[in-house]
Amino acid sequence: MANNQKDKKITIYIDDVPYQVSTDNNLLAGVLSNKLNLPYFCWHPSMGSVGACRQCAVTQYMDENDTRGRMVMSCMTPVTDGMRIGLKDSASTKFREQVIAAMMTNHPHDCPVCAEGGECHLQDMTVMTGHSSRQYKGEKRTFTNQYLGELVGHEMNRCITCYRCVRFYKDYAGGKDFDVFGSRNQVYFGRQKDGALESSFSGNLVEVCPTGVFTNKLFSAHYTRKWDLQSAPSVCAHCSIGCNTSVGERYGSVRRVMNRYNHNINGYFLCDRGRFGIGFVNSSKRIKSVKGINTKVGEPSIGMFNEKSFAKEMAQHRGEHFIGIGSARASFEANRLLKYLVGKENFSLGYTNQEMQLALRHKQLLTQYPQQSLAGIENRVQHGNGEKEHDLVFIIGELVEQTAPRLSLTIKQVLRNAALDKADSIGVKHWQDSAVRTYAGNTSTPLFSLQAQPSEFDQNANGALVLSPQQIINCLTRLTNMLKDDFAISDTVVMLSGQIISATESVGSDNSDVKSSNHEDTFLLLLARALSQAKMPLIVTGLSLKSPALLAAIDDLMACLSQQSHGFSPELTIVAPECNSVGNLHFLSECALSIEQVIEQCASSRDVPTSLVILEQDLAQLSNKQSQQLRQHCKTMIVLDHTHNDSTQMSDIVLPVAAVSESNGHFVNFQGRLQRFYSVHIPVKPIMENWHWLSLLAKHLFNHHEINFNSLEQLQSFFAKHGEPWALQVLTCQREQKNQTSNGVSRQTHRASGRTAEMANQSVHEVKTYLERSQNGVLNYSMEGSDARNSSNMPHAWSPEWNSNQSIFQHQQEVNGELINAANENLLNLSLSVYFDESPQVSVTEKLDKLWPILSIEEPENLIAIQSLPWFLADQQTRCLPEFILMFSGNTVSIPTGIAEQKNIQPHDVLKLFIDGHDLFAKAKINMKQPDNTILVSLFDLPHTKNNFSLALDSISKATNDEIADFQQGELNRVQAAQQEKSDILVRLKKQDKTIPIAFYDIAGDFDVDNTGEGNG
Amino acid sequence: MTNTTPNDSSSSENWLEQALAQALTKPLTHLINLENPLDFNGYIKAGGYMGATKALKEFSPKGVLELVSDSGLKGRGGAGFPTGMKWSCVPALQEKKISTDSPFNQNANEHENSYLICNGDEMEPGTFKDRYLLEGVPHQLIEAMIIASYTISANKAYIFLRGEYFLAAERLQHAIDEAYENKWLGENIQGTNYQLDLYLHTSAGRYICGEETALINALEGKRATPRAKPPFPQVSGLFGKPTVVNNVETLCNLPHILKHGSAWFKDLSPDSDPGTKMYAACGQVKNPGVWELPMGVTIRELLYDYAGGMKDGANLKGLLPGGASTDFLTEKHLDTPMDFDSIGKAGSRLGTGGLIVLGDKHCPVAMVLNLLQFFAQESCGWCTPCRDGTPWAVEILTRIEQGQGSHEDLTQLNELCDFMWLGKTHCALAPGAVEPLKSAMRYFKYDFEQHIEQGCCPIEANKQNHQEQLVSNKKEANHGE
Repeated sequence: MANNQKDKKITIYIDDVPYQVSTDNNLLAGVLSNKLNLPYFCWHPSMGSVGACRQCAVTQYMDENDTRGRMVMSCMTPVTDGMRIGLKDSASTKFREQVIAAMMTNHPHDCPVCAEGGECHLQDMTVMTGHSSRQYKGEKRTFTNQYLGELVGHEMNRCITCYRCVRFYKDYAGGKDFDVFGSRNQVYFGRQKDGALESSFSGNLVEVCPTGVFTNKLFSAHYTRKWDLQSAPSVCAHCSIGCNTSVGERYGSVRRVMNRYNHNINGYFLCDRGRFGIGFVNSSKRIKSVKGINTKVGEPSIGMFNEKSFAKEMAQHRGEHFIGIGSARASFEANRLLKYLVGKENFSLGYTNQEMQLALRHKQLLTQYPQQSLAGIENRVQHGNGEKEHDLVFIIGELVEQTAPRLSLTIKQVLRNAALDKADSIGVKHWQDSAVRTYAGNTSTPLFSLQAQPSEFDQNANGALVLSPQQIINCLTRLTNMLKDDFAISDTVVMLSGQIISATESVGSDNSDVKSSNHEDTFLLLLARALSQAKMPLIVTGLSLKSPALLAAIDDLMACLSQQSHGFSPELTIVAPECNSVGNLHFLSECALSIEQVIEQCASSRDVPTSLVILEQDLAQLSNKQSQQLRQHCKTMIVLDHTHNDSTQMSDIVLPVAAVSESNGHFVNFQGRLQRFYSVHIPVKPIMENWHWLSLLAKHLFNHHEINFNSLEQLQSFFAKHGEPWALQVLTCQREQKNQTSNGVSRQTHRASGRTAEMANQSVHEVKTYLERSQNGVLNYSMEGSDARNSSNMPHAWSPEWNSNQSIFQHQQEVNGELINAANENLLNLSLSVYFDESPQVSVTEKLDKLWPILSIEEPENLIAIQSLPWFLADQQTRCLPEFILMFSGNTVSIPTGIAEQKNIQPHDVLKLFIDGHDLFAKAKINMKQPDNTILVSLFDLPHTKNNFSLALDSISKATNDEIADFQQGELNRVQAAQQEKSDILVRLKKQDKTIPIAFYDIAGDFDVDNTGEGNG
Repeated sequence: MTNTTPNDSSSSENWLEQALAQALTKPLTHLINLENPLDFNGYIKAGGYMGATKALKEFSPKGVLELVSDSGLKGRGGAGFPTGMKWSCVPALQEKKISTDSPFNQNANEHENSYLICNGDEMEPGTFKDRYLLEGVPHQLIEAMIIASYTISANKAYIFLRGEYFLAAERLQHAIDEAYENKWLGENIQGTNYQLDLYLHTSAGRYICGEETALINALEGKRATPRAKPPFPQVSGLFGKPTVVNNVETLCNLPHILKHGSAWFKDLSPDSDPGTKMYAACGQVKNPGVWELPMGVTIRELLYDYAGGMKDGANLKGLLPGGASTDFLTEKHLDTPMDFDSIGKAGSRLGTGGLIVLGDKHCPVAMVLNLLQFFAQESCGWCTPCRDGTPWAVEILTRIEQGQGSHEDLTQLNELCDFMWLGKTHCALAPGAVEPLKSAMRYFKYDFEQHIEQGCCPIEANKQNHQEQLVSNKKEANHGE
């Protein structure tokens, strides 16, 4: 990494032994980077130092003759060349033990019932300091706990007052509803009063807290100790960022997700959608049996799969012509295999014409402005190694906090660049967190926001406008023209400098065009001037407005910015809709079919009936009419999916597919990184991995006898033999990993309790014999095997004496650095097909319109509906998580004042919206700041993929009294159903813990029926 | 030190005459009138604002700095840091400009603003010297703050006042209003083009607000926890701007140094730290009070000549020389001069110069417990040794005091003293709590041991025995009749 070269290393002496440390970080980080044990609490590698806990004290000596030294807090001490410190001297050793002893005066003795037990940083540090007996004889202070919502539990008595939670929640993540109260030894961390935490990063409190004050409620409800979890390295499937996760399982059910450090993507933090959203795999909506295939009478459907009857059934469909519809939430491999099976002329990504155009524009931008240089934009902030950092952020038409929450956390750190620069000016180091915040105050990197709805970034922006999607495009075009015309515009707008336009005044309530265009002028002048002065602007946009024209406008802007020879290096970040959207761009060419084309083909086929194989695609983006046409015209509809949805409902055959936690493959994130996810447990048949099903279809439906894959690796090898670069890349990478860890990496930590007892309810034999047969050679279902640290894909973070996630420094090259065994970056090589290559702008548009014409039926008087769902529902898969449903405050529609007046709508009126053939109901909100012709909808029943669509004014009306009653009952029912589902899931999983037959952990390729387990004597 | 109210003009003139006679020996207090402090005109008549006039019209900010540095004035808040040195760290006085190239920083090319804060959060137990100055001659402080603000190029200054000082608040606000009316505050002060706005902020009330960085946090509306240093407030203080925090008494010396010069100031106490000092005494003394005396009077003089000696026939057991957070001194230290160095050599700190005197009829363990309860209560809760160490010490002391302690408790207390000592904590609060505790355990070891061995407080027990003895004597006497 270029970063490392810039680091300056110096020598310090620790207990008279020389060590190399980096001058970019403090003494504590230097000690830890050398893998020495030094306990700490309040310091966090990403959040820096404040010097509160005093745990990391060491003795600093003036020179080699100084035997007394003085005590310093290593987290608050910069390193200097030749400095001498003692870790083992009696003074600092004793003091560190005293700190623990003092913390323990109030820490309760509830370790056995604490969800943190076994991975508690406080436990680790207590043992590390040698504190083993209690001297304190007084009473312990107690607190009342708060209800903090469905996700995070609160147990304040355990608090050791390290202030990490509030520093993360408030300072780092910008949360406003959590704080520290009280003083002396009655310091309380919580909310002003009980209530759900508002931040979408609240789950990080669980990892940030060094003990069990904040716990993962979903994990606690179905709890197991860390040492009993089998974990797997996975990749979050709930947005396109591709955060690395560690998924933990026991007895065949997923228990939790923890952050898995990735230097270049998520660092130490996840968003709550990623952390808690995994619960969808335990939903009752999961498909557990094959639908539409005649199975023999008397055969239990769970745990079984009869390939013969499947083959027989499939043989009936061999005469049909098949079109394959892939999806952006299925793995890259599965999509590739499906495309291979049906042939490229018969492959669709499930995109409408509009989405095809959008995807192609997306691909074009990615090809032209590769985003890998964006790697770790947050990391650069942490390192502060002098590399030029982003000095302007411009967010265009993408509500990042809704579509990719983790990215919004990164943007918040990028906005601190200006503050860090300011701190540099008085020599305050970046890790001196409180000093930087004191000195730089609210200093923020310039931020501009151009959105179709209010955003959380508006209030801190130097300029923020809320416009309709079309106005956004116009505005961008104007900006580009201004920049093209003359960069010297700054002369004319000097007097505007520093003037802030806020969202509140951006589009006035009076709706006067003059006024709003004035705002736009000011905004554009400010922005153009700022852009002309910025050295490294970061431009963030996305696809959620579904507007190819917007991407075209951004293309123009980027071209203009890049052409200016001002030492410019603008960077573009495009948020993709789903976890593998960018992977799908690989399959995008002029011959890919849009949904409209699929329907046309189905309808027009005369000789041979056309049928569909649909891979993990709910087709929610289709209009009602399109779905009906599709169903009507295709003969057989075979759907492979893991959760019930619209397409499984209308299909003939449903093949139950493993969800992300049970399957293997790669997702390609927004930057184009191919990232491997591993199954945390083996799916219970007939649920099988998607590639496995497709392999069976290849054999029994498509007559592709060359395909008979029993492992993902065979699939990858197959395509590698065909010379596909991605397959060669991932195979090389996987081989390297195998070489690193020839015995496979243990999925369990070393401290597995009662290895033989974990299945004792079934058998006293070690489960090893069953599980180890199903090894893929990389990860073992065992506590035995190679240490996780030897692998680039660590299933869990653990190190001797460090049982919590804090152990990650032991696996980093240095604190905040790359993992020691970081895998090579697998970047998907995207290239435009010749058809689109090197074409002038106009002709690309023409070509796109010719290939995938967008039928514009827009009436000028129509309203534009924009999705404004909360972050936890802005992903189809997590919408069945009962906790998220309970967090939803109900359907709302936000309408501009003009419409409200016109239709005489008052706030809280219940409105009826006629959308795509359905009546949907929602409570009205009236928003003065909203553009005249847009409404913001937050409707549980409307798929989030439908966005920026046109709606006739008369399709909004006030609900009748009966309808209001029905609506209210419906809202109530949803909440009650979610509560019921929440308890049902627990009952079911806990029952399953006791009854799951061992044989369900069967070898993946072996279809023999065996549910009895090995007999034991 | 009683001031008679000047009822009529003649007695008023009389009073002023008497007061002015002491101008050169008691600069800080000669104009004090607790009943009826001088209003603006009265203060002017008494020679007020002459120091400020001189500073603004005859001196450059650097000139004032040099004068004050030369005077050797040391901070009177407790630490005794040279005032001139503190000021000289302000970037404005270092000709080192901070530049940022961000187009959004409007102050990029302007002179960076700095702030002056007067620390009037006098919450040290046994200390009431600042109150005397604040209530008795409020204009003196305002004049002083004009001089200091001018020196460090501050256009905004704050008085951070202890919340319970209602009368001082009222009088200060009145004086500030008068100063604005008379062009001593606001824009264009006395036609000099210098601008200063002065704000009075009354504290919500925490001892820790006396720590300058906690004070700054409190003033910003944040939690009153001390900040990590460096950077020091002179570089990054209030709202991140260069800030100087000075004690009330320190500031009040300024008009007189300006008026009479640094040589005069040094001559006030030729054998000691320069200037006069507000000394006070409370506890088991006959005549508690506050006196302005030349720096370096001995403890004996203060205790016997000014405070009237011990009360009720008690014998001196020990004393805290400068507020609650200083080490005990005993009989043998009585001839120690009360200045920063001498008291330091004797094993304590001059602190605020307010004696707290313990007699032999009171229990030293109970006194230390009382002090530790105060410190535990007032801990801000930021760092572990203070937050969890002080309540732990209270827990142990409570048991010892109630006669339920053990010898291991004494070991534990000693360890806690070590645990909370300087360099290990985030600020000086916990070390301040350790000072009386540790020294008490050294000087009054016998008393601690007696509590443990007798299972009760020996002094209380003696008192009770004495009472019982009296009762039984009386009974016997009655019986005899």
